[in-house]
Amino acid sequence: MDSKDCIVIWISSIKMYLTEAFLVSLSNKGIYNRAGKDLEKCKDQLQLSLTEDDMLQFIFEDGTIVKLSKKLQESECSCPSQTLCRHIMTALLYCKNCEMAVSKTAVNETSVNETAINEASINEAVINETQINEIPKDENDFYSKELLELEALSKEELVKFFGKKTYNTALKKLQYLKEAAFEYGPMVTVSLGEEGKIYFPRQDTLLQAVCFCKEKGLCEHKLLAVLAYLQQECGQMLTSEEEVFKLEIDAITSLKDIQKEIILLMDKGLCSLTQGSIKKIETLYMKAYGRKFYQLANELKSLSGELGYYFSKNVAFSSQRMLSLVCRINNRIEALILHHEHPEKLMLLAGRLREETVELDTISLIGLGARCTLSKRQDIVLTAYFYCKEQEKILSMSTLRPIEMAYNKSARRGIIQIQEFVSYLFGMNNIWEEEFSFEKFLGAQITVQHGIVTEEKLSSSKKIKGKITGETTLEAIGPLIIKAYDTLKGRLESSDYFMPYRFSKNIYLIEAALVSEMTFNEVEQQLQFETADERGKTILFYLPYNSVTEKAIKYLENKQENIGKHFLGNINWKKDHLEAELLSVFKEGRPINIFTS
Amino acid sequence: MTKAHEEVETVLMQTEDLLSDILLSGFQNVHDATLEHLHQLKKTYDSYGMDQGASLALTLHNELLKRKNSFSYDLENLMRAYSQMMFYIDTLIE
Repeated sequence: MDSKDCIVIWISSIKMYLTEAFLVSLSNKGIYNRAGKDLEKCKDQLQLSLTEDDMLQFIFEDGTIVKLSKKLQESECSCPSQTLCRHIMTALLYCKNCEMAVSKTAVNETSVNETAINEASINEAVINETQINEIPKDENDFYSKELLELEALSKEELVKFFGKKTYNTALKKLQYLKEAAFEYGPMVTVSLGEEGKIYFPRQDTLLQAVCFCKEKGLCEHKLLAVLAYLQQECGQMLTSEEEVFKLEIDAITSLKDIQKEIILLMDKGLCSLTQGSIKKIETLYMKAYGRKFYQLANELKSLSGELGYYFSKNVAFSSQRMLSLVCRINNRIEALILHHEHPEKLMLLAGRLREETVELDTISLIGLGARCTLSKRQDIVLTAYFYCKEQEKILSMSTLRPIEMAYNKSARRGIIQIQEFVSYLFGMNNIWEEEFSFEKFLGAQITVQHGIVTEEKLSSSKKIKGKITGETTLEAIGPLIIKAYDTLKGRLESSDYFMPYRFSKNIYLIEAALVSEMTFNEVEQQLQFETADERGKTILFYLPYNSVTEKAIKYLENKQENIGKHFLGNINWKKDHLEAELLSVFKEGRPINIFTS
Repeated sequence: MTKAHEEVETVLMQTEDLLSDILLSGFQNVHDATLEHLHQLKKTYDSYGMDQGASLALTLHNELLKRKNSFSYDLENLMRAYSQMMFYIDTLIE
């Protein structure tokens, strides 16, 4: 067998890679086209040979040496380029043309070199040039849908290859992605939405996979594609890799030490404590944090804060809150020690350091209005609410400013200054790369790229790109609206004794068949009104009075005719009836800004 | 809300206030009046058929009495009784 035949055989072995779509994905269209032009000029001067390590060597006229590997990403070039260069692309295009020529030759010639092309490949060689680039739909049946190497991967192996954090993040992201599309050919192509394609060869599937992001190693997109394949095509149930929480003996001792200190505190009583006890509790907080008992640490931190209020005679001090904290700390420690051999329960009791953050490629949001409120420390908090179509849940985005900023430019310190500042905050252009304002998108439909979501909170980072695609309409918010209040019964999440409180868990958009008159309750110091559904079930909405809500309350009292029948509220059971803190008000499907109107 | 519900809620609030008093005074300085009140609450729980509440109130009462009047007290048991009482009230109020 002469060297030419060997070269032809070598080229045949990488035939599956020699499609325009794949070659462009390795680099980019510009390099592909440039390589095509280069090939036209130099194809007659190229010197080919096979090396000892089974690589196909190309020597260009200018002395550049390219060594193509069967594992394409391991191909080398003597030029200074760090990525796949035009020389390598030229060599690949040469192989592509060579392969096409061989295929045509196999069709035209009656005699066949049996070492070069076997009988089975004659049938394949019948395919013409266009068919080399596209796998016809009916020919998909010839290609197995099984990627055995991927199917054999266990969760432990995936975690080992990609890392626990990447694995868990990818799994979470998979929930929000649209279904991946699979094309089965000599290679398996996985399309992840609008992002791009990942190519998996049939052999060395994972290590030789090629991603649109050009990452040579194992990237997040490859993992997403693998997980999508395992879930959609193989029907596997994928579970996240949780950190196994173990309680060692010294951790139990630490817990008992913390418990002893709390018991001593209770034995002495609040009246007998000194300011030194605040420092003691803070030490316990650091101890708990160091042992990764994050929930316990948070509670100890709150306890030290509460003690601080007590000693400084701050009006914010609440003996009931302190009582609740002390008992919850003791109960949690008892539960941790009791369940020290149950990792899952320990995880729940210990809590997490930080909430999980997911970066989503593209999400569509519908603005549901915004509200302004004062935090416990009297900071002005502006929160906008959106409905995310992909996640099918309501997200929020907040910004916070100390109330002192409202008085910066003015010697006066009154409600007018605060209300002017609130208007200023609503109109401030600082959200995302496009520098939107809250005013702009509280009633808009938006497409967001690279959105960062932590639990139900959306980031306002400048890395995020947003585009306003329309206005919030009744039709758009239709699927969210709850007309029958009975359905809320099963949906409202009750708080768990050991879990942290989440404000956003029960936010719903309701429709009112009847809205009562909006009146100000002098005793409770809040605006109140009732909405009723068609069956007569009611929800009591309220808006507490403070310096930032005064304008909104006046608007609602005086201009009730301007308001529609849709309301966004944080709904909870209170004794035997539904109550909701008013978040946003709609008219004809569009949110109204009652804080600046 | 029915009258019975309101009465139970009142009892729960009274228990919470009592526990708050104990927080302020401490286990070692519990007033006799507080102990007497706790004893009364235990009877109230019994009359409403709230056996769990009655049992917790009795345990807490006995542990506090030990702390006040004898040397054979166990602070861990006392704290456990106290926190369990609070958990009971929190859960019912919710």
